[in-house]
Amino acid sequence: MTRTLMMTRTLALVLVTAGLLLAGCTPDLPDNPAEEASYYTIEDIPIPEGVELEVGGLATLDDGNIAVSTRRGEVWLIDDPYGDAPTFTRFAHGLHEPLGLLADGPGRFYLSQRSELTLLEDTDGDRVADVYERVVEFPITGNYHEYAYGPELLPDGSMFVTLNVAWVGYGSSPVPWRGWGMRITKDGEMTPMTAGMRSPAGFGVNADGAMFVGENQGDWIGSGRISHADMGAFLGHPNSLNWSGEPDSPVRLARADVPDTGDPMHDVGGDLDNFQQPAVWFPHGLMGISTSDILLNDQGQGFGPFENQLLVADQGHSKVMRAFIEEVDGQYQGAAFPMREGFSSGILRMSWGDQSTLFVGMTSRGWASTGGNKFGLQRMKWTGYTPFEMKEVKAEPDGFTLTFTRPVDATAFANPEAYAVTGFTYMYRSQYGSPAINQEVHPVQHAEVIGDGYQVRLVLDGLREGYVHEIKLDSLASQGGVPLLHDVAYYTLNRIPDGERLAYDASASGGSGIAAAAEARSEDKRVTELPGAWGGAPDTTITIGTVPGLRFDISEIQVAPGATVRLTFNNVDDMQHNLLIVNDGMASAIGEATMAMGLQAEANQYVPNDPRVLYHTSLLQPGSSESIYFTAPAEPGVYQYVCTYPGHYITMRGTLRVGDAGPPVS
Amino acid sequence: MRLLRRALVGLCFIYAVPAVLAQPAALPWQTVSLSNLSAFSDPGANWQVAGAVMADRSADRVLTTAPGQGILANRPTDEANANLFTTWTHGDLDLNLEYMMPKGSNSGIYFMGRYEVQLLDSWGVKEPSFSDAAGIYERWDPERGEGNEGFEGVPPAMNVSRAPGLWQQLRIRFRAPRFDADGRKVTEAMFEYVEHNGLRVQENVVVSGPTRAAAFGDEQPEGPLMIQGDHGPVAFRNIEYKRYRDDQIELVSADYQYYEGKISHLDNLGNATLASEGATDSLSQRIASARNEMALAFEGTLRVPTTGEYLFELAAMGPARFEIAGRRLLDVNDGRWNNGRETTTVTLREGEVPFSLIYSKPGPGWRPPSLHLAYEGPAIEKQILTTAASRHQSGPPAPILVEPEGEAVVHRGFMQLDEAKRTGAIAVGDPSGQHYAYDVEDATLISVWRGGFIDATQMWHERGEPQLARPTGSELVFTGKPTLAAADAVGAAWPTDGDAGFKRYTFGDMGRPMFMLEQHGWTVTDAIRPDDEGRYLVRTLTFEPGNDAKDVLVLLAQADTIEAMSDGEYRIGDYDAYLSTAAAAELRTLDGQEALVVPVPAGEAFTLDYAMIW
Repeated sequence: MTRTLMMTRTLALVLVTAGLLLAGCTPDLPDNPAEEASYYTIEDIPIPEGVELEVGGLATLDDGNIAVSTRRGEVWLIDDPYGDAPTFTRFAHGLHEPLGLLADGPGRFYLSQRSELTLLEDTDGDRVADVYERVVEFPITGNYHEYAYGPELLPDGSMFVTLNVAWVGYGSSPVPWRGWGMRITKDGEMTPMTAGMRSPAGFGVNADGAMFVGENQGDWIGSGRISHADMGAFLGHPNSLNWSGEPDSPVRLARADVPDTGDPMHDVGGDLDNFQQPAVWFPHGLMGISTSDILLNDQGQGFGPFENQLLVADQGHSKVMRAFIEEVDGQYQGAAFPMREGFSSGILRMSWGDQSTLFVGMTSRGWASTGGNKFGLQRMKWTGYTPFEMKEVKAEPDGFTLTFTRPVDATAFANPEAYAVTGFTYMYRSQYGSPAINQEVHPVQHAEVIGDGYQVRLVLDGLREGYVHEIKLDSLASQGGVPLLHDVAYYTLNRIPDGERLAYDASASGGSGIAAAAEARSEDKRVTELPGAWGGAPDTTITIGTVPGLRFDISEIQVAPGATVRLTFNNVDDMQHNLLIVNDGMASAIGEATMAMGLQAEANQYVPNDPRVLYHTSLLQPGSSESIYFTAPAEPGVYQYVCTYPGHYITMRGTLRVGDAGPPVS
Repeated sequence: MRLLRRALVGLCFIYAVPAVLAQPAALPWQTVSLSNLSAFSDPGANWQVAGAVMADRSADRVLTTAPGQGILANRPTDEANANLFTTWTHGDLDLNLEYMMPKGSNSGIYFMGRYEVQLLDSWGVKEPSFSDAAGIYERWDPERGEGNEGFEGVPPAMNVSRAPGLWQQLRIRFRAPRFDADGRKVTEAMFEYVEHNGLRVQENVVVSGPTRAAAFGDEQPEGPLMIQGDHGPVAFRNIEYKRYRDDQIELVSADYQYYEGKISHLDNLGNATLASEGATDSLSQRIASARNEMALAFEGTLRVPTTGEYLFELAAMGPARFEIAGRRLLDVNDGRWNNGRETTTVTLREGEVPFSLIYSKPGPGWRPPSLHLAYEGPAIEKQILTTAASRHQSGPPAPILVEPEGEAVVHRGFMQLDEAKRTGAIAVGDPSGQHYAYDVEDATLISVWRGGFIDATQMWHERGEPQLARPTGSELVFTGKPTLAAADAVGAAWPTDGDAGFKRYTFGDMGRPMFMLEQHGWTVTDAIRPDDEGRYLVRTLTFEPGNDAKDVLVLLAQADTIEAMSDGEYRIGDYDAYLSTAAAAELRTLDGQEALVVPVPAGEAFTLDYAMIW
């Protein structure tokens, strides 16, 4: 970023602030302080008809315009991406799924194709590439799952590319260096750098110049996460170790050194050389389902109060999250936080533009995303308002220090019962995914507002290394009453730091934490046997199935008031789903309430204990079915049915009409 | 199937049969014996059997023959120019054949002696009409008024004709007209499909009456197959067919038993709960209300219409078993949850026979249940015994097609060549309609084709599995061996390992790519472009020597046979293509085949052109 741009940004910020003052509003607070959109806006960048902009790579150019590489093998130059009428120029075509793009001065781009790293060059200045130069060839067998991602610039000027494993019912590495991160110089020298990757779709460098790589749930990968991809590190997927015996491998760990026990990753890998624990886990379903791009917020204060944190995107949940990372005992670890959801498709790429504009490039790429669109390009901008957020979580010898973006309410935040901390981890095994295991509630013993009022020191017992710690807060507010925008953080505690424990008067605290387990769901909302009083048969039988793309196969059903109903839900999809019948207009609220359950959601079939939920099924595995029996409300009216598995409630819903006559089922 | 087998044996310059045309196991075809003309009624003197035929690609309407058998040749004269009729007649008919068309010649296949699929030397025609090869030739009615006499001619969707003197393929399914008891026509004749050189170019074309030059003016339930003999020389071989009657196996009666619960094996249905049973008038897995953990057992009686050999095909999602008269004919998936398919043949006697059909979906799984039982019999077309809905079939996605517009289009993707996925493949679609695929890893041509360019559905639909770019035209497939080898590395075999040294591609006129390699001390530019009339492709290899340039050999073609004709003209393989070059090419034996190579001595810059004509 040039000095000029930085100045422009600062000036813009001053102008925004000045504008707010002139308008006479409270400069400090938006109209709807409890909404993400009040702090970060999302705007569409219009895409011309006929351009299938399935974004694989996204780069901001020196002049502030952007370029996009697409899954369909094209590179587009997009001029004036800040306004409503950008222009699109096709720079290149015919490439094999370029899932990355690195600008290298005017008219030059590096990108990965499936089988090579390529340099595109426009030699005559007509804005169309004239030379497609092979920089280096990637080993590949032709499996559809052998993606190549990148390149990203390394601090030494070389490039970093990741090579996806093949999928043959499991992630396999049939040729070197499948499952590895590679360092490639601009003259085509390629050396293996980091092993243990499965589907490393996104990566980025932090403020120290350290490379972090994202990962998705899969075999050997219990949940999404980001890991420090240092030279010689092994990040956890063992099939890449087929090649650790090669002469140029910087990893010495052998495939046979990694047992398939299902024990936590920290227990299995703790003593093994090269074995790198994830820096920050993004718990599956709670913090996205498919971690993608990682981008350092190097925008100073231009993008809000989260300077030098990593922005972490999610494809399946179409959202941007944050990670605060600290170094403890030479290892990176830190916390994941929600930030902004509601993008239009699955996010694969992010790039900074002028004035701290965050360009977000998207494709669903055949994996459904909550955004719903097949592809998209959007801008995310800070509005200038500071949300009340947990900004940082740091580990302490006896707990955590939370840093907030605004001074906290001194009384409320000193109450230990305002915090619920639960530790958990994942199974490390060849089987796909993992539940959150070994869950343990850690009551907060003591909470103390410290420093200038922005920080809270939590003291608690029994913290475990190698575990993720969910830190969930009550509905608290800042000094001055700004509500906490997001009430949860997930801290990955690889190392408990040494140091002094906080001295405090234990008799004055004595919190026991929030009653951790949600109350059991009321079983009469899920009756799976035909009630005897119904005389052997229900009045009405309804069958609802699923169709791909996160939808029910019926969008509206009708029953008579007071009718006895058997509702059969056939989950014929390849994902898990449930079905809840809720009060009219409450599908989104219940979906959000389910997300807010955090870790408790999984144990409760993703059904919140909420009076607005009338009836529900259990969480159904792919290919399974369940019938529930209920009596329709006596009053005619409108209700909704919805799947509350994380990420599904936006699209997967329908209308239940209770009435004697009315429009036929549509 | 003979045509298919032939496509799979050759190593170079073979016709590819696209995977979509891969046929399930089927009853054998009937062949027209060409050891003599006894299959034909009163053949004219213009017809003969031959052991070989040859048509010079540049000589008008000339066909020469050599003695022998296996090829049917027509060489009409002013005196002898009769059409040829089979001794047998047909109604519904599947017909496969190969034909060779001399330059400028004309013929046609008349189904039932009445409905014509046109044969013509249409090589190079860009916008085909009904009178081009694989067209449905027009009808003619003077009553329609001058200029409007011709009607119902249908051109092929694309012209994929090969050059004169090469063997070409036709596969045609024809439906005869149907008549009621009073002889009134109730259904028109129809060409269900015509496939020309591997590409479907006609589909469901209804013909309301005989073509203009038909042998008969009326319409009948049956008639002889006729080959036009009076319009020019032509040759045929590998003529095979299946004739069909309106016959079927009848489901006389059937009972079903429906079980729910975990089914460990089809032999142990008794462990599950019998949920319902009764009579049924059709065979379908949809009788079951559960999608998983269920089984269905049908027992009943079939009526076999004709004694003879039958083929049965059983396909199911989960275990299924089919028995006739207590004999187990088919048993798919053997207790597993696979999506399996098996076929078998059996001789059945006319009359009633007991059968049983058992199907199970033993455990969970997201794939929906599916049960499909089909058969083919003596003069009985393949059809289903289960209901159509019993087989779960998700419709194919709308194809995502890539075509050149104005300039050449480059399309990189994996491409299949025989058993191997070529990961370095780059397909190039040319506005002339002559397309090719190049493999940068071996600096070699994978195939050339004309027709449509690329179907990218398998790359871009949903997750893009299996990530293959598929030509949508009529393809001529090469060996895929590297083009260049160090002269001292070539012995009895052409070396297939080693790095072709691909560096980059740039673009010439019309956006046509030029590939650049560095190999054996040479910088090589490899450019492929159509000839001036856009009928075939010309490859130009330019060699610039470096300091350590070695003697190299360039492999132009390899095939079972390569015949030198005249002045740098070669005929490749079984009349599959021509190759034309001014370079000093040598015929050698490589890998037990014939090969055409050009030596490039170390030292001077060198340019090599050759034309691939097909």
